[in-house]
Amino acid sequence: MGAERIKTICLVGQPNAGKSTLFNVLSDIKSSTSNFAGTSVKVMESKINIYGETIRLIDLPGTYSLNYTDIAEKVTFDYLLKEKVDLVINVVDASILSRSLELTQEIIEMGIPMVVALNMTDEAESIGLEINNGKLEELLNVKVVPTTAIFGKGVRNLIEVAYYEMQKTDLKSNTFKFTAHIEDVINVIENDITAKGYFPNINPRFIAIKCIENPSIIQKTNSNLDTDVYDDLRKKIEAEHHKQCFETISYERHHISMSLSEKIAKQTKKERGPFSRKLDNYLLDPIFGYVALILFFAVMFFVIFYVGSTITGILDPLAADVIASYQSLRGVNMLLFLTVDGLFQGIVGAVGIVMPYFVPLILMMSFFEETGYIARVAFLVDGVFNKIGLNGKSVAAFIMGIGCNIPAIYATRILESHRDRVISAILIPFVPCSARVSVIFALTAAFAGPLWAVIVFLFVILVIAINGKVLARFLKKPTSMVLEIPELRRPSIKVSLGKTYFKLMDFMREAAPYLIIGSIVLAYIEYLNVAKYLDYVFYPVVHTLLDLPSQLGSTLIFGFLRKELILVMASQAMGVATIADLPLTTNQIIVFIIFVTLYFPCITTFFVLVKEFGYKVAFGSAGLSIVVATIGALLFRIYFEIVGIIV
Amino acid sequence: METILSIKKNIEFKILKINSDDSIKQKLFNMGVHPNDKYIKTMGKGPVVIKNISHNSTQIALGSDLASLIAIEIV
Repeated sequence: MGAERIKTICLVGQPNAGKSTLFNVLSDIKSSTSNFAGTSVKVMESKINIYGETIRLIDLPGTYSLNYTDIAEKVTFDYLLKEKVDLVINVVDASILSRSLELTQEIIEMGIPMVVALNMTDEAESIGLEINNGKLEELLNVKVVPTTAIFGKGVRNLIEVAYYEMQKTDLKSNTFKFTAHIEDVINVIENDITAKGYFPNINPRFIAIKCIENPSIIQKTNSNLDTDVYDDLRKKIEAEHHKQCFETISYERHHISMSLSEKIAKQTKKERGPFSRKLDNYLLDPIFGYVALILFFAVMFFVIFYVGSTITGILDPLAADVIASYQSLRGVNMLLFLTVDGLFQGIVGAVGIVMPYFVPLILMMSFFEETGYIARVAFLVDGVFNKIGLNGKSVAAFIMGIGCNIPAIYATRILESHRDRVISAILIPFVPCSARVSVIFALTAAFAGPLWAVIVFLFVILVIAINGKVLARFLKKPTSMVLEIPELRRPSIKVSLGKTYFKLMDFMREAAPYLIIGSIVLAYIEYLNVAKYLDYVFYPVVHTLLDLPSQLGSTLIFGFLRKELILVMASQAMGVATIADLPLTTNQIIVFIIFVTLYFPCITTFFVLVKEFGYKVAFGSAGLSIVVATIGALLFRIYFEIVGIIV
Repeated sequence: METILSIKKNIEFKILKINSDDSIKQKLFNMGVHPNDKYIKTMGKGPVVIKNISHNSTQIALGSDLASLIAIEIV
C-alpha cells in the first residue's frame, strides 16, 4: 500500500492582499513580505499540522487575474492548472473588495474548493467600509473568514474552516453567469473540452472561458488543445459587442464584481483617514517627493555609516587583544596557529566588520518595504528610468538589490516585458548588496570618511545609468509603467524586527561559515605559498593597471564566493590584524573599493542569472561587470595621479 | 480628444477608450482600470497617478506614454 497523499492548500490572491504575511503566520518559514506589488515571485512551501494531519501549504505569487501578464503571475496560473490543489484560500483585501472579487470569480470558475480570507478588515473599517460577511458567503456559496493577518487575527479560525471544508466532497461555489449569448458559446466549448478530456482536474467551464478571452495562455499550457477551432465562436462575440473578447469578458466580470460589492459592502463614512493621503501629496510631488527621497536615503546612509563605524571602533581593540593572545602558538604548533588564526579572523570578519553595517541596513530596508514607499519611489523616478531605457517599475528590483541581488533578480519577474527584465538583470549586479555596502562602509570608515562612501555610491549610480543607456541603445523602447501605489502603512516594528532577525539568521547560516572556512583556507594557502600563484593571475589588473598590492589578487577569488570575504581576506593576505592597519594609501583603498563593488556578482547571483536568463545573459553580465570594474577603478587611479595623494 | 496626460490634477473623468496594445490593456483591466468607471487624476504631469472613484481602490501610476493613449471624458 502506497503512502497517503499529502493534501495541498494554496494561498491565492492579488498582490498586497497579505498572502505572504498569512503564510508567515501559518508556517515556520518566513517568506519575503512588503507593501509593494509582486514581492513574492516564487512558490513558497511549508508543511503545517492541522488536527494531526500534515498539510502542504503553498504561497503562490500575487496575481491580479488568471489572465497573467508577467512571469510571476504565470507561476500562479501554471501551478493551479497543473498541480493537484485540494483547496484554495483566496486572500482578499477587504479594503478594495470590488477589484479583489474579479479574481475570486476566476478561481470559482476553476472549480477548486475555496475559502475566502477577507483580510485587512481593520483597514476596511478604518475607511468606513462595512462588509456583510454572511451575505458574501451566501452570494459566493463559500466560507468567508475575516482576518487581519499582520496581527494574526482570525488566522486560527481560517485554517480550521479551511481544513473542515477540505474534508467535504460536495463543495460547489455559485457560478456567475455572463450574458446569455456568451454563456451559449461557453457551453459549446465546455462540451467540446469535456469530450476531448483536456485538463481533467480543472472545471471545463474555466478552460472554455479562457479559450474565449485569452486562448494563447491555454495553448501555452497544453499545446494539444487547438484553440483556433473556436475562432468563429470568438468572432461571433466580437461582432456582437464591437470589441475584442477579452475586453467583453473583463467588462462583464468587472460588472459582476461591482454588483456583488454593492450588495455586501456599505460605505458608512467618507474615505480614508486624511493623513496618508496628505502625506502622499508630498511624497508623489515632483519637487517635494525628490527632496523627501534624497533626505530618506541620506538619513539611511548616515545612520548605517555611524552605527556601523561606532560598533566596529568598539570591537577593533578587543579583536587586536585576542589576536595578540594566541600569537605564542606560532612557535609551538604552526598548524594549530593557522587554524586558530583563520577561525578567529573569520569570526571577527562576520561579527566585527560585516554585521555592524549589515544589521542596520536590513532593519531600515525592512521598515522601508513595509511602508509602501518603494512604489512612490518607482513613480518619482519613472522619468529618469525612461532615460536609461527602463521604467519606474524596475526600481523595486534595484532597491531590493541593496539587500541582496538574488531576490532582486527574481523580482524582475514582475516586469511585463522580457526586454526590461534582461536590462534590469544585467544592471542589478552593479547595485551594492548588503555585503558590498559593508565593504564600502567598513573601508571608507577606516580610511577615507563618509564623503568617500557617498562618492562611491554616486559613482555606482552613474555606472548603472551609463550601462542602462548603452544597453537600451541596442534594444527597443521601454514599455510604459503600470504600477499599483498601495496605501501607505505604518510599518510594524514587530514585523520589521522579525524580518531583520530572520535575515540575520540567514547570514549566520549562509555567509558566516564561508567567512570562517574561507579565512582558514586562506591562512593555509598563504602559509603554503599557493596564494602567490593566484596573485600572479590578477597581477596585470591588480598591480599593473590599478597600482594595488599584488597580494590583494588572491582575495578577489574569495570575493567571487561572498563579497564580505574581501574584508577578512584583505587584512589576512596583507598580514595585519585589522583592516585599519592595511598598508594602503587612501587613494588605493578607493580604487580597491570601486573594483570590488563593481566586479562580478557573487557566485550565487551568477547562478540565479543563469537559471532565470540563461548562460548568455549571465556571462554577459559577469563579463561586463569585470570590464566596468576595471575601467571604473582605473579612472579613479588616473584621477588620483592627476590630483595627487588625497591623504 | 482629452487624455489622462492632458488634463490637470484633481479632475474627475471617465475612461472612454484605451488605445494601448492588448497586453497593457489586459494588465489595466486586471488591475481594475476599466472604461466607463469614474476616476480622479491625483498626481502628475509626467507619469500620472489615477484613482478609481466608482468604488474603493488603490491608486494606479501610469507612465506618461500610456497616459497619453487613454482617451477620457471629463465628468
